[in-house]
Amino acid sequence: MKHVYPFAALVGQDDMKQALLIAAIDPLIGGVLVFGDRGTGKSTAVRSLAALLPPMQAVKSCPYQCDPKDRATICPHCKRLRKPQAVTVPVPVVDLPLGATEDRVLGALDLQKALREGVKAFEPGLLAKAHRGFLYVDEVNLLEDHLVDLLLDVAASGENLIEREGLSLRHPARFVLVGSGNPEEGELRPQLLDRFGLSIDVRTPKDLETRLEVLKRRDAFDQDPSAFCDHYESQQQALKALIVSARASLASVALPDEVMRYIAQLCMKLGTDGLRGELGLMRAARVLTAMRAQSVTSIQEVIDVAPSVLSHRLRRDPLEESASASVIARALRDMPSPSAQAH
Amino acid sequence: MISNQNYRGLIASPLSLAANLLLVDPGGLGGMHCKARVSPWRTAFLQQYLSRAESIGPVVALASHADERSLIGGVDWAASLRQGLACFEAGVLGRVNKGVLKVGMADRLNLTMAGLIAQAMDQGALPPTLGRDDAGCASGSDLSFACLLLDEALDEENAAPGLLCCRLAFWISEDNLLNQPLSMLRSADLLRARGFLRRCSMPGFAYTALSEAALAFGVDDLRAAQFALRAFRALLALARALDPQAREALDHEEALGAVAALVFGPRATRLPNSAEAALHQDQGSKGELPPADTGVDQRQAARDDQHQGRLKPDEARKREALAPELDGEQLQAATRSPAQTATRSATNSATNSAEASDDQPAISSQDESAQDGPRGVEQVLALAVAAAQALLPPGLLASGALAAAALSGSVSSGRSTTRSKAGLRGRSLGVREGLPGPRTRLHVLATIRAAVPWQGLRERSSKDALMRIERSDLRIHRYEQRDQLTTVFVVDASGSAALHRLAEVKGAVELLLAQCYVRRDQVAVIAFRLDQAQLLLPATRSLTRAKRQLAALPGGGGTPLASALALTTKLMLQWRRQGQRIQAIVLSDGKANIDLEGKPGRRKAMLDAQHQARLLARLTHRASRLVWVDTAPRPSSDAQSMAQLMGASYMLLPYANAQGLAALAS
Repeated sequence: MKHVYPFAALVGQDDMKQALLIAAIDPLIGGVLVFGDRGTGKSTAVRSLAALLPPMQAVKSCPYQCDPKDRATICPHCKRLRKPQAVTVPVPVVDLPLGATEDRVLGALDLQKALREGVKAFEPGLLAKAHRGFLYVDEVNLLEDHLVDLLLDVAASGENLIEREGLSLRHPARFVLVGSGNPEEGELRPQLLDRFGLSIDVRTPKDLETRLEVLKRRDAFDQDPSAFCDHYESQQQALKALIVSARASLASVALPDEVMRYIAQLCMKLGTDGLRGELGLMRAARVLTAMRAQSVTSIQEVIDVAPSVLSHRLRRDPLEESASASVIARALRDMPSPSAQAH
Repeated sequence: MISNQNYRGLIASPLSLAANLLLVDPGGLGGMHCKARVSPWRTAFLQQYLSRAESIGPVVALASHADERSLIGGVDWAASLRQGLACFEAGVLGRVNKGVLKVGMADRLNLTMAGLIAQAMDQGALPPTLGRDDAGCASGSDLSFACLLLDEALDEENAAPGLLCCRLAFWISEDNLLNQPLSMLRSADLLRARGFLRRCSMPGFAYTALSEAALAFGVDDLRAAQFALRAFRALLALARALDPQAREALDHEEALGAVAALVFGPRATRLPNSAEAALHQDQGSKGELPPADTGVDQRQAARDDQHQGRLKPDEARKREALAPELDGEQLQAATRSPAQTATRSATNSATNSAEASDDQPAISSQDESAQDGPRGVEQVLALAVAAAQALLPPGLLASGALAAAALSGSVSSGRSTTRSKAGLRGRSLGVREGLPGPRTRLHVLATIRAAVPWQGLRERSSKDALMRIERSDLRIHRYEQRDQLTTVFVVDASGSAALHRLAEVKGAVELLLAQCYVRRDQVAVIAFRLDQAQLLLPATRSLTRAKRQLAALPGGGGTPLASALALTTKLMLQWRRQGQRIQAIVLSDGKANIDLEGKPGRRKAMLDAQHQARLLARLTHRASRLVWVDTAPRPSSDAQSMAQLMGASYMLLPYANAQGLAALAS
C-alpha cells in the first residue's frame, strides 16, 4: 500500500482546499481550476483528495462503475442486466497525462480480443475510468487542442461517443474536471475555462512560518509515511465526515430571496457573461453553507465563494491591467451592505 | 569537525557534492539538470559519474528519438501479430528503477515525454498505458530514479521543459561548475549511506535555516526547500557512512550551508543582502582579505549580542547585512585553511554535542532549535551565501537581469515538439499503407481487412494462428497536426516616436494574444534602440507573461537596424528548427544610424543593415512571411528599399495603432 500525503496535512492554501471540498461535496459544481506557480502543492492537494471521498456503490464488474440505482443508464454493459449486483468501490481520481493519445483517453479496440477471438471489443480508456469521479489534468493549459476538444465534448454531454476502428458505442462519462497549471506558460482556451465552476489562484507562501511548516511536514511524511498518516487520521476522518454530512444536508439548505438578490446584483455589477456566474455562485454558496452546518445561506457564504466562482468569468479586456481577484474584491466592497438589502 | 578527507572534499566541491548525494538518494533528489554543451569537461564528468552510478544501479539512456511507447512500454506489435496475443514490452522507465535515467539533448525533449517522466517521478509508478492493467504496472513496486538531464540549449528560451527541471534538485551549468574536478566516493560508502538515510537525526534548526535561506535567495518554489532538506539528510547519511564517529563531530551549519548553496544558488532570483555587499566588496578590493581575526571577533560580538539581547530574526538579519563581507571572506578563507576551521568548530562544538548525544534514530525534538536556532540559522545563511557565489545564475548581478532571472525559473520552453504529418495525435485523416514505427500507429482493423482476401493463398504457419499477416498488409493511421505560427514584432524604439510606437505594439501584442488561444500562436517582440537590438518578449503565448515583460518599455536613442535584423534572423532560424511558421513585422522608418558593432555612423550603418536584410531574406525565405511597416510620416525610400532587399511586403502606417497592427498579423 502506497501512502499518499493526507489532505488534512496540507499547510495553508485554504482557498484551494475549500474549492476542492466544495467540488467533492457537490460534483455538479463543474470542476476546479487551480492556477499558480510551481511547487505550491497543487498536485499534492488533488491527489490527496481521493482518500477523503466516501466510497460509492457501483455495478459489479461494470467497466464504467455505473450507479446501480440509475436505471436510465446508457452504459452498454449495464443496459443488458436485469438485476445489477452492487459492490462498494472507491471514487476514482484519474490522472490525465499531458501527452495522452486519443486511444488512451477515449478507449480503443481491445487488441487481444481482436487478434485472438476475432471480436470487436472495446477497451475503455481514461474517460471511462473517471466516470463518477475526478479527472485531473496537470498543466491543463498545455493540453493539446484536440484533447481539449474531446474533453469539452464529453464534459458537455456527459457521455463518451466512440466512432473509430469500426467501433460504435457510447458510454456514460460524467466526471469532475480538475485542472492545474501555470498561467505564465500559456492561457487556457475560453471554452475550457468556462467549464470550470471554480477557479483558484494559488501563490507560493512567502512567510517563513508557513514555509517552515510545509518543510517539516513533508519531511516527516517522507521519513515515515505510515506514522505521518496515522497522526492525521483523526483529522482525515473528520473531513470525511464533513463531506458525508454536507452532502446529506445540501438538499435542505435554504437560499433566502435577499441572498439571491445579492448574488444577481453582484454578477450584474461585475458584468459576468451569461447566467453561469449566478448559478455557480448560488450552488457554491449552498455547499459552503452545508459545510458550515448551517441551514440558511447568508451573504457571508456568498462573499466567501465569490472570488473563486467569478474570477474566471469576468469579461476581460486584454488591455486591462488589474487582476480579476482585485476587481471582485472591489465590487464586493462597493456592494450595499446586507442589512441595507434586507428591507 | 570531521577530519575525513573524503568528507572535506565533498564540502569543498559543489559538483562532487551534488553527484555523490544524487547516488545516495536518487529518488528523493530527483536528479540533476546539467546545462552544458559537449565539452571535454562534460564528457569527463559523465564518464566518471556514470561509471560509478553503474556500479550501484542501472543507468538507462533515453534515446533522442524515443517516443511515449519506448518510455513507458507498450504493445509489441511484431510479437502480438505473431502470437495472436497482445504482448507488451517494458519501456525505459520500467528498466531504470533505483538507477539513473540519462536524457541526452534534453533541450529537444518534448513536453509529452517530460510530462510522463515527471508523472512517474511524482507518483513513484509507471504512468498507465493502454491495454495494460493499471494495477499490473503498479505492482512493479515503487519506482524511483534520478534523472540526469543533459541540456545543450544556448539560451533560456530553448532549455529543457521547466516542469521537469523543477523536479530535479541540482542545477549544474558549464559556467559555474562543470570545469571543476569531480571526485566520486566508493560505491560501498554510497550504498552504506543509503542504509542510513532514514536513520539520521536532524538538528531542529535545519528546517528554519533552509526556509530562511530559500527566502533570502528569492527561491519561491517549495520543492527547492524540500530538496535542500533531503540533500542535507543524504549528506548526514554519507558523513556517517564515511566515518562512524561522524555524528559527534559533524558541523551541521557547514553541511547546511553547503547544501543550501548547492540547491538555492542556481535558482536564486536575488541575492541575500549580505551577499550583494560582499560581492561589491569583492569586486572593489580584489584579493585583499580583511584580517581573519577581526572577522571572528565581529561575528562573535554579533552573536553574543544576540544571545543576550535575543534579537528578533529580522533584526538579526539586518545586523548580518551590516558586517557581511567579513563573514563571507572569512568563511571562504576558512574552508581553505584547516587551522581557521578548527577555531570555528570550537565555537560550534557546544551546539553540536548537544544534538548528537541521543542515540535514538528519530526526527530530533524541536526544543533545541528554540535555543540554538538564531545562531545556527544565521551562520548557515552566511555559509550558504559564501558558497553560492560560484553557483549563482550568470547575469544575476547585472542590473535589470533580476527580473529575467525570476522569469527564467518559471519559463517552460520545450516547445520543440516534432511536427510530423503522420504523428500519433491530432485529428484523424484516414489510413495509409506503411510500417508501424515509433511515430506511427498501426491501424489494426484496416490491417486485418487488407490481409483477409489473401488468406486462402497464404499458408498458415500453425494451426493456432488465425490469419497470416504480411508486411504489405500493414496499415497505419494518419493524423493531422496544426502548425504553430509565431509572430515577431521588430520595433524601432529610437527617436521621438518611440514611446508611442512601442505602446501601440504592446497593445497589438496583447490583442493578438487575447485572440489566439485557439490557434495556439505565439508572439515575440524585438526592440532596437541605443546601440543594439534586444529581445524584449521571448516567444510566448501567455498574456500574463507578455504583460509583465512589456510593462516597462524603454525608448529613445539611435537606430541599430542591422543588429535588429541580425537578431531577427537568428531567432527565425531557431524557431523554424522547432517546426514553426514565422511571420516578422518590422516597424521602422529604415533610417539606420548605428552599425552592427554598435558604433554611430550613417553610411556604415546603412550598409550593415542592407547586408543583414539580404541575409534575412536568403536564410528565411521559406515558411515565413515578412512585412515592413513604414512608420515615417511619408513613404521613405530607405524603408522601401530595405523591404525590397528583405523580400518583405511594404506598408505605410504612419500612425500605427494597436488594432491595425493586430489585424495585419492575423
